[in-house]
Parts: sequence; structure tokens; C-alpha cells
Amino acid sequence: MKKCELLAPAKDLHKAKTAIRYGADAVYIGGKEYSLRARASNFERKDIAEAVAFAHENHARLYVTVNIVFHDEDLYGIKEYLQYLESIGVDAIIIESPGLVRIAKKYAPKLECHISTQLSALNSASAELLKSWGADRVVLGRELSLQEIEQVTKATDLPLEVFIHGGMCANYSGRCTLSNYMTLRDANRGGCAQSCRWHYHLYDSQKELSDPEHLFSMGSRDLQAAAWLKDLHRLGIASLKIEGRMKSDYYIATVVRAYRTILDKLDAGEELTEEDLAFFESELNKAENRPFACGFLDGNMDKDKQLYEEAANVRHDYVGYVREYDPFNGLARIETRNPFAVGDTLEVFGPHKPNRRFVLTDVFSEDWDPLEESHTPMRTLWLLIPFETEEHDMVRLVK
Amino acid sequence: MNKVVSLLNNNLTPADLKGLADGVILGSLFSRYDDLHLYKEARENGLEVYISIDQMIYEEDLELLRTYLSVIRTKEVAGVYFSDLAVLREAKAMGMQDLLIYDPLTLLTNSLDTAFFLKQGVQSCVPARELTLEEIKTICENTGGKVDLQLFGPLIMAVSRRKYLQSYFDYAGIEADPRAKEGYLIREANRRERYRVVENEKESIVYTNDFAAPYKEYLQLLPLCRRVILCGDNVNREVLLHVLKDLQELNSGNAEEKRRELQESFPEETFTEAYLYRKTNLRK
Repeated sequence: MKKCELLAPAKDLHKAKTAIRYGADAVYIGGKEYSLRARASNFERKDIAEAVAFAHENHARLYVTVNIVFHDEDLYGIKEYLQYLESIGVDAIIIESPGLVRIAKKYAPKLECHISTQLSALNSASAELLKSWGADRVVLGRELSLQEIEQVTKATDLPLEVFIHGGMCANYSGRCTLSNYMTLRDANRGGCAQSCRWHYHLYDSQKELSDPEHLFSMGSRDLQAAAWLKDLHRLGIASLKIEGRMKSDYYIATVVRAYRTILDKLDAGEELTEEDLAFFESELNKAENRPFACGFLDGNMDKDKQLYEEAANVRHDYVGYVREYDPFNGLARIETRNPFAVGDTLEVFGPHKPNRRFVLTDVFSEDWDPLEESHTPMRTLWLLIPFETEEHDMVRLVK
Repeated sequence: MNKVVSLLNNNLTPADLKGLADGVILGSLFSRYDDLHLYKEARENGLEVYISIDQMIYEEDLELLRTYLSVIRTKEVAGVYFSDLAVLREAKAMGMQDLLIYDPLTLLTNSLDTAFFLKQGVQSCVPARELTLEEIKTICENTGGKVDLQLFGPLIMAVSRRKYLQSYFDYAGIEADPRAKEGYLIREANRRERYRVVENEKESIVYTNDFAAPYKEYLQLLPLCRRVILCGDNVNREVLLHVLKDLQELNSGNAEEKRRELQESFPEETFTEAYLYRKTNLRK
């Protein structure tokens, strides 16, 4: 059976490299042009070229989102952009517009065209039609249950992509103008204000029904499908996608690493035990997320999939990124992120290695002044770590 | 040029539309409308019948969709509005794509895609409602006017497979019928306007609170398009009839006055030009 691709998001070049180092088979990015997460993008054209080169050196693939819902004024220059992406070796574009698929196939034929979830393809008839128009893959709508995904896989041979982790649109992706109407920000052109997550009073005619302490919301819990990977793997889904082009490198490393490890076990024919799942789910919980649910995968669309409470999704346990390790002195040079102090129990994790814990005893500044604590992000410090670490490992606080 | 009207929960019947509209949008399967029983009355009153297949299609729906399309083909139907690409694929297989009118609510925003779908054989396309007047004109001009424009009535803001009302009622312990025909109203905590939320077996729909009624612009767009749609979903029957009568008499000399009279006649309603002058291209 062909392996399921693990597809990760990246906001910038560093995160793209992190995703690949931590086990992504492919990374999707948005350029500064024509991308739904325009605000998230730090990819100048030269960065896209470097990301492609890095991906290919590491046997990974790189996809570029060209997934805004184009207005006529947005179409200027698109042909040249597609040809540029093809010229630097981008593997695929993620695209919503059927008309643009035709343009891409004509002027940049080496680019695969993956149909964005914005189009809400939910059945094999849509998939087959899109295939006849040149689509090489379809990202299924997030509204499908596992059973419905299975039905689609049996009825089309077009490679399918399924979301397994991250934020969920409350409405059919692309078919929502809450943001347009309420804020003049076009959700389909990268301006989504997430109005679905706001709180609303609910009325029956003139009488308020809602509890003022617990108002109505359309907001969704985040998707977390670790327990469903075995079935998606069995169905031969071409690509399993992680959402989160706005997220940190810590999120990407944590989430990619957890799903990578699960997929490697499944690829090796190993059983996923309850203990395994509990461990991976606890790992996934360490990344910044809203409260989780399994989305529509179980076929239920009840209150437990919705998010009515305020949900702080910012975590502060990411201590820093390892830049180098001096094995002679047992010191790791890290780039700090969140506060920590001598006496804290910290955990080091990295690509393809188990988590290891230690109690922090010594911290030094770049000038070798001993420190008791750190409160400043993006500072370079030396930590005494009693086992070998390496560049690109990450250090986090153990709660 | 035709004016076509939908009748969801507005207490209008096809007989009410006689002489005021040219067609009526009805639905049954795969639609938020459930009024196909009015087909005969519509035909008897000289109205063209358009069928709406506006809901998303799932794999288990495909067989029934094929059957439904084969029945539609035998009726005197002027067009089928559809949203899900499965409808196009199945209709093409049955050689009836020329009945179709592509209306994906938000996704048709440029001339390229509109022309693309027309090349697939559909008779017309409905551009997104959140386009400006100039953007709509451009699409009309670039596609030979083979477009339907929804210019009147409330706009759909969101469609979800989630059961927004049922879920919230369960969460908050509210005893109410989430499928109440007229739906419920929501108001964002920091705003004054209310939006209607309607839930049916397959979806939740959120509507704008205002009523698009661009009289002057209607006259400009009239010669550029194939049909104008008046969305009658959950609309005050008297408002809809007033607007339809106005459209019969509208000309460049009286448009502003009639628009002012409309607002004065229904002061509780908010009439707007929708997005025709509201460019929604802001980013964060």
C-alpha cells in the first residue's frame, strides 16, 4: 500500500524546515501573493525557492497555496506567478478556482493541482468532475465522517487529502461571508476575522433565550484525529493534512512529530495500543490548540463539537530552540521563547528521538554570567543539559 | 430579462406573484426550500418554475440525486440552481446541463470561472453577492450577460453542516424547537443588528439582517444580465410585494423616490445596497 503523506503547514522558511526535520513528507506554504493566509506569509519568492530546495534535498515535497477566491482584479500576473512556481520546482499548487486549474495546466503543466477544501468537495461525483478538469488531488471538505470518506475513496481513484489536525471552519469552507459582512474583511481572500468564534445573544422573536454568561457561538473545537489515523491509513488516503499556517515552530514540531510517529508505526504494521494513543494525544495537547474534538469523523455534529467557552489556546511551556550542543561541557546554546528558572523540570525533544527530562541546574548568559531565570524571549542562553542534544531539538517546561 | 422569486416562509403563493414576477424558485430534495408542491399552481399562474438544489451533496445522496434529476427532466422546468459540483457531473452525464444555473453562493467571483462554467454547458451562473457593482458589471460584460443576479432580499452569510441551534439549546439547557420555520435571531455581543439563523435537517443557515433593495443599480444591471433573483426567504410578505410592484414601475426618474418610499413604508426594515458599494477586501 502506498504510504499516507503527512502534510504540514509553514508560515516561513524556518518553520518549513522544522516541519520537514520533524517528519513531514510535504509542506504547504503561502506566498505573499494569492494566498488565503496572506497575513501569515513570510515567504518572499526567494524563500519559496529555498524551501523547495530544502524539501527536495530531504525527499519531501513543497506545495504553494494559490487558494484565494479570485476577483477579476486579483488575476493580474497569475500566469507569470504559476510559471515562476513551476520554474523553481514547486511540486503542487493548492487551488480553489476550476478556471485557474485550466490556466495552470496550460502554462505550468508540471505543477500538480490540488483542489482546496474551499471548494467543499464532499462526494466522488465532484472529485471525478474535478479530475476531468485537470485536478491531481482533492482536499475533501472537513464535514465528512469517516464512513463518508470511505464511501468516496471507493468511488474515485483521484488521490484524496483529509484534514487530521487543527482549526476548523464552522461553516462550509469558502461559503461564509460572516467576516465580509461584519468587518469588510473577505474570508475568501485571506481576511477572515473569525466572526464565527464571537459570542452572540440568541433571541426567539424579541425574547432573549441565551444565558448571558454562556452566549451562543458558532465556533468549533479544534480537530485532533490521532485515534482515527489507523482507519484513514487503512483507506489509503493520499495525504493527511495538519492545519495551522499561523502557528509557531513549536506547534509544528510537536504536532508533526506525534503524527509522524503514529504513521511510522502504522506503516510498519505495528498495533497502536491504548497507551500509545494516550501518549500521542498528551503530546498533541502540549502544542497550542483550542479544546479538541474529532470534527465530523464520528458522524456526530452535536454540542460537544462546538466551543462556547472562552478558550485560551496560548501555552507558555516552550522554553527554547537548541542552536548547538557542546558535548565536552554538556552545554546547549538555546534561543529562548518563554520564561523558565533554575530548578524547573525541562524536557528535550527532537526529530526521531524520545523525550528526555532533566532538572535545570545551571543557566548562563552569552557572556557566561550565571543566571537564575529567564524572562526574555529570543535571547541566546546556555543551559547545562546532562545528555546529548543537537541543533533543532526543542526544550519545554514540564508542568 | 426575468424576475424570479423564492418563497421560503414568506406566506406568499405563486398566485400572489402573478403579473409581478416571471418565475418562482421551488425546491424539495437537497434544498432549503420544501415547496415543490406549488409547481402546478405556479404553472397555472404563468410562472416559470426554477428548482433549487442548493444543499451540499454527500456520497449517499448521489443515487437519489440522479433519480431526482431524471424526474426534473420530464417536467416543465426553466432552470435548476445548484451549488454542489456533483449536480453538474450527474446532469452532464444525463445531457441536461443546459438546464443548470451554477450558484455556489460565495465562490463565483470572477469572469474566468464564470466563463469556465458556461463552457461546461450551464445556461447561467450566479456571481457571489459580496461583489461590488463594478465587479458585477465586469463579469456581466465578459460573459455575454449569461448571469443571474441576486439583487434583492436578505443574503445568506453562512451555511454549515453543524446544528447550531440544536447544539446550543442542548448546551444551555434551552427547551425550544431548533427547526422552528422562522428560525431565531442572533446579535453579536457588541453590535445592534440581528441575524436570522435557520436550521433544517441538513444544515444551519445564517442570513443578513437587512434587505438588499438597490433600485437605481437594478436599472443599470437589468440590461446586462439574464435574470434577477429576489430572495424571499423569511421575508415580510408585504415588503416583497411592495418591492415587486416597485420594480414594475421603476425608471431612472423615479428610482430614488420609490426607494425612499419603500423605507418610509417599512421603517422597521433596513434596506441597503448590499455589497454594491462595500468593497470587502480588507485584511487584518
